Amino acid sequence: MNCREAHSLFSAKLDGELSACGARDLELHVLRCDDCDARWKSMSLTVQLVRSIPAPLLDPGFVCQVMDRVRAHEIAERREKVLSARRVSPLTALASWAQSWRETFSLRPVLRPVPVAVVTALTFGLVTGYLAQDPLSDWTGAQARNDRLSARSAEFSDPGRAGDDASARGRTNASSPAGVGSVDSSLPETAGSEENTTPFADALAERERGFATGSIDSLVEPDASIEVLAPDWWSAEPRRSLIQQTRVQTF
Amino acid sequence: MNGFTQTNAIETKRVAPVFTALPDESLMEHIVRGSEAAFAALVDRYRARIVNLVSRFINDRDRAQEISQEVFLRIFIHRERYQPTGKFSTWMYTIAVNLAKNEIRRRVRAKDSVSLDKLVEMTGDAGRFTADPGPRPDRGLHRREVQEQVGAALARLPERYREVIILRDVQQLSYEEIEKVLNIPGGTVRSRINRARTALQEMLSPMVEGGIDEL
Repeated sequence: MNCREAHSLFSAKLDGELSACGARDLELHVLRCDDCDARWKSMSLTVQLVRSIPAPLLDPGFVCQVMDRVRAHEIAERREKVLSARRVSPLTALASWAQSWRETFSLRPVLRPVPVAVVTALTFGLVTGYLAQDPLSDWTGAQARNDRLSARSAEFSDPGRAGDDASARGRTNASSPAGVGSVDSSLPETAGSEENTTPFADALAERERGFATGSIDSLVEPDASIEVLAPDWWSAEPRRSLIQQTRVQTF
Repeated sequence: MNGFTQTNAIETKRVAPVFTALPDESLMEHIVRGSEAAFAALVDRYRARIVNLVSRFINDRDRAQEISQEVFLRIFIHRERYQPTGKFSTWMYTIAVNLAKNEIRRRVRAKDSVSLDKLVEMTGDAGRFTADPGPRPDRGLHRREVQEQVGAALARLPERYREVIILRDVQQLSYEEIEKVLNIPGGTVRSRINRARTALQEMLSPMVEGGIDEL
């Protein structure tokens, strides 16, 4: 072992990192070399000096100060969490809702157009169906309701006229053997030859049976004005418009 | 009883005796569960060593107290990152060394208090360190003066040498622990320790050759 090798082993020898064989070789060299002996003693004393430095004095309340800082940090952290939750609450809720929706209805990429196509088809069908709807499709029902309403109002407003009309109708039938009971010349003949001879009393009797049957000309009094009303489909207001007015021809 | 011992006694009374006998890893388990008493016991156990480590690094006692508090605060904040498989002291020393290094770099960047020693330190050349050209100390040199000179010599060491010498000779860590704390190979640790001691030996040679009786 030369002096350079011995110098490189001083530190390991001080820390007990040398093997027994290496330590014995180093000790033998130091015993024979005065220069290495001096350096060894100098380094030993230097390390002893460094290790002898005492720890600095501590502040009396070091632990308390640390604990105060820890508590202050916890309070600040909690406050920051609350504030951040308040700041992003709507966005967070929206994002979580969207995420949950995606997770719930997640489809494979191939199937993703399917719900879009279904929704589009349903929307198209609803819109076109509404636009193509015939405003007069409810014609029959509206006509029957209007007829009944008109007949009832006429009956309750002038109940005595029914008998007069019956006697007058009898006279008319007498003067007119044909006994025509059709509604206008423009309206089609709805009654047969026997119905034409039926007096108006039959119509009244039919009305008393509760409007179970009967056509428009058998329920409406002569000379009555019939207003056929139908709903106004294209108006936002729930009003009705007069689409046809006719008059019952007297016998 | 000196002031240091009195301070330790007062502080120790505030720590729950249940936790004083527990090993570090068990204390950390309690701390992770939110026990402040366990954390106080941990701080009381390591405060002297951490303050000593940091003060040797930055050579500023008051600032070392603040940085040491920051070290413990970081430990509490990141307590869940601690892996029980590793040694707790190694993890703690890593945090302390990093914070001390940050402080040194901050001071160097500030350049408002860069002294000649710091400029020499920034060069990182151990060969430029020479023995103190001041008067040769007497044999009866006062112990406090010797300690101050040793502290000053430590502060003049380059950072890479100072950190290994502080961890080895001041904190008494093993070579393996120094490897883990500094994250450098074992061979590098050994060579740096050897060079750091050689540099210190040169700086303190007037005092050492003059002989010191009081140590």
